Amino acid sequence: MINEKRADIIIVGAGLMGASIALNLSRAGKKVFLLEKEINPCHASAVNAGGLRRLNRALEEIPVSVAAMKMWPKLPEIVGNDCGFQPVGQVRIAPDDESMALFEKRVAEVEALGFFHEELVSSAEIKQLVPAYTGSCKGGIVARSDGHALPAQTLRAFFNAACSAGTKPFTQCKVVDISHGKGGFTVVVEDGRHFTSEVVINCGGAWGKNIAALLDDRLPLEPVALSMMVTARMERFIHPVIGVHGRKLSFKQMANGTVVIGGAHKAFLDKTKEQTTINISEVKKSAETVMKYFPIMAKVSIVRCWAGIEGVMSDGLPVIDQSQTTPGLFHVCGFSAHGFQLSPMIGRLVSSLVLGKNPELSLAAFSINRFNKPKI
Amino acid sequence: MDRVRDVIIIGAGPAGLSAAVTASGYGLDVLVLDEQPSPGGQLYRNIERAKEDTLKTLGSDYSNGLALVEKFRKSGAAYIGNAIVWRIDPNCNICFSAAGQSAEISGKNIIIAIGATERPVPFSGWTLPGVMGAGAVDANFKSSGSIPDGPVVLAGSGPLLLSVVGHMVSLGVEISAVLDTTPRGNIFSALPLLPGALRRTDYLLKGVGMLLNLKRSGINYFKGITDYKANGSDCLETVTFKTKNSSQQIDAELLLVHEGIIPRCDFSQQIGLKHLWDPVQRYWYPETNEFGGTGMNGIYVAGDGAFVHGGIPAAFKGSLAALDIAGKLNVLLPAQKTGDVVMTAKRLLSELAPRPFVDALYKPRMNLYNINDETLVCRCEEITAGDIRQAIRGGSREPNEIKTITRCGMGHCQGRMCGIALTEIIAENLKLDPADLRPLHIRPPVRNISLAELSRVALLKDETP
Repeated sequence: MINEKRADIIIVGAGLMGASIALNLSRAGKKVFLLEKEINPCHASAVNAGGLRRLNRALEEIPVSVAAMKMWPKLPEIVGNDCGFQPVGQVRIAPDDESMALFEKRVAEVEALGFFHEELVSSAEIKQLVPAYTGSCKGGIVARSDGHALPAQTLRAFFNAACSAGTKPFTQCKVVDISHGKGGFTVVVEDGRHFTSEVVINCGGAWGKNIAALLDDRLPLEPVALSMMVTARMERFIHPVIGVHGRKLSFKQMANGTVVIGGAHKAFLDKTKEQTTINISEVKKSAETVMKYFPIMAKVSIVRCWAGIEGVMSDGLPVIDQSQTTPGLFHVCGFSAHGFQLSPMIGRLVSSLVLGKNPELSLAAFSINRFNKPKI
Repeated sequence: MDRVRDVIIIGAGPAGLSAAVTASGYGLDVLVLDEQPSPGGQLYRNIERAKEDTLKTLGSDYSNGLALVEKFRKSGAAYIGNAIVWRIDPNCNICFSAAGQSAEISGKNIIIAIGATERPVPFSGWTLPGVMGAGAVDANFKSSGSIPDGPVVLAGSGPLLLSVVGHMVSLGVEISAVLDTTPRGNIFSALPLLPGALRRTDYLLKGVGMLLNLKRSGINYFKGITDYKANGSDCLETVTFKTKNSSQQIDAELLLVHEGIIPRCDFSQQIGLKHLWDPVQRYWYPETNEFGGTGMNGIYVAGDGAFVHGGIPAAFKGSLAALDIAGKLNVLLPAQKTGDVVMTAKRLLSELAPRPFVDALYKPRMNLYNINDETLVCRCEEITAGDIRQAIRGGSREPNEIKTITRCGMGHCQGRMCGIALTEIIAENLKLDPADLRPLHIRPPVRNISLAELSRVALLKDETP
């Protein structure tokens, strides 16, 4: 065994979840190693669309999302950086009566849980909020203090804050083996180095399934690549982040005037090379949709299209739980398309969970055994 | 338009034209897409309509292109000018825009032959009106016969700088000074490479001739200068620089800068080919085999876009790529294949003989990117060297991360102007070898197209992943 190193806790994956958890555990006085296979923290944590959305979240996630939203304005105190936070609101448009009926039901459900951030609004107010929208509209939902932030800046801020708090980062350390025995965990990385610890936290994102498999845990998680595009700068024509129900469209105009267009259009993913290639038909469809609802954008140049690699769980909810078979192993992954906003809070909750304290919010909905019984 | 071509060539410069002529000569179905209105590329720009005195001024380096373009016109290869390619993919599909309409086409092979460009080097005042690349002057002269009003100051290093000076002298443009930044020590590292170069004395004599003409012309020629800066409030007013012993200032309305030539890697990077760093000429170039073949089946890079060797070698490199494709498509008899390949490779080799010497002689100076914090690096997003250095101090070291954090390289040119500077600034600040860094990702669309055009692009078929 060469160069053995011991920590209290090893976190696999220096994405936003890994960095946020590392920050909290280091501040709690734990010796934390943060292992990252790439040269720097990156992937979906850095190249996602940057939306901060409580609006239209799975009901199970709302308490965590609401708590996280309260943290975003305070990030300068927490990580020393405002992370580009812009509380411009999020709007979801109902293009027909059916969607509006769904919205009414939805808001009633949210309110029944004791949350009031989602507001039903009339088509007249949608016209005011989104004057450039030319599609049909029967009203919508608004979450006025939702918004967006800058992912790369946020990731770097959390990573740096974790390191300042004592987390020791190891980049270009791809984990190839994890074993568990009396002395705890032994984590082996590609160049042959060994690290040991009491606890391992799997924050592997799109690769979380592979990390879990090293200790025979099965996560129903699949990597997917979702494409986005960004335009040249435009004169400001919209403030909130926009989604249209039933249409693959979501976009926002950033502080500098560029418009970031998403909508869950899939790209091709080469899992071995970890490379994404945009699917031009999907990109075309995305452009058609934007053209249809926002013709004001017809002439703007598309500057680039790209796709990040994310991990999606079969039911769309993340796993935040201790392994059923290997005590001391925690899985925190499967946040595809909706983890960015949650990340400051996930760090706090998982830190409590790992330290054996009661997390301030229930994580029961994110248990691992919701999928399958432990293997015998 | 719908049929699958044997080979689609992007670029109608020496490499692309020569590839087209060779491939067509073996009966292959060839299409050439080029962004200029007529074939020729940068080197032979507008050659079909060149006037007699343009040909005379620019000499055989330019007029040689006539024969090649003629052969191309007769070759039977299809050609679309004013075609802006904006995406290629590993399945040899190409999206391009012509007359405001975009379409996708497919080939069995693609040859990327988009040539080289002047190395963009930020310096204090480089964004002032009145500061231009020296190559742009030649390009304008070829396109329209226009010549700059003097007096002109030229600064930088490299054979092309001397060649532009020569053209200006013969056109009677007033030159107030030539500021040559070539380090004096270069000659010592180049000398051991001289014997190889002596195999092509014709090239060496041409170089010596250019230097002699420069001397004879009586131009103010400063050797080994450093720290040239463009000064002025709204436009260029003066150029300042340092010689070994003094600081000097010259009034100027036009400053032409040239700091060498680098491959255009737009498409080779967008498609995801592996790129290597050349430590002598300090640029990224795609990894290719002797035929320009790459790690991707059917994707070739030929000409200066693969490595800067100049126009004539580019043509041979284009032919070699075409020969390899002809061999793979079984239109070449084995004897032809070996014969033509051996002959072309041999001629290429002879052309390349002086190259290591010339590259070492004009190796860019060490402090090329030693610019002050206030200097703009990314013109699109207005990011300064100081912004980049601050991100480096913040713990970032990967160019693509610094891009996303600072927005350097996120504008409409996608880092074509600032990518190398970003790499070099990171390497210098962290004492890294640029070879250990990764070039900026280039994403489609490589050239900007409007949302409306994208929404109407005529695709071959609609696929879902």
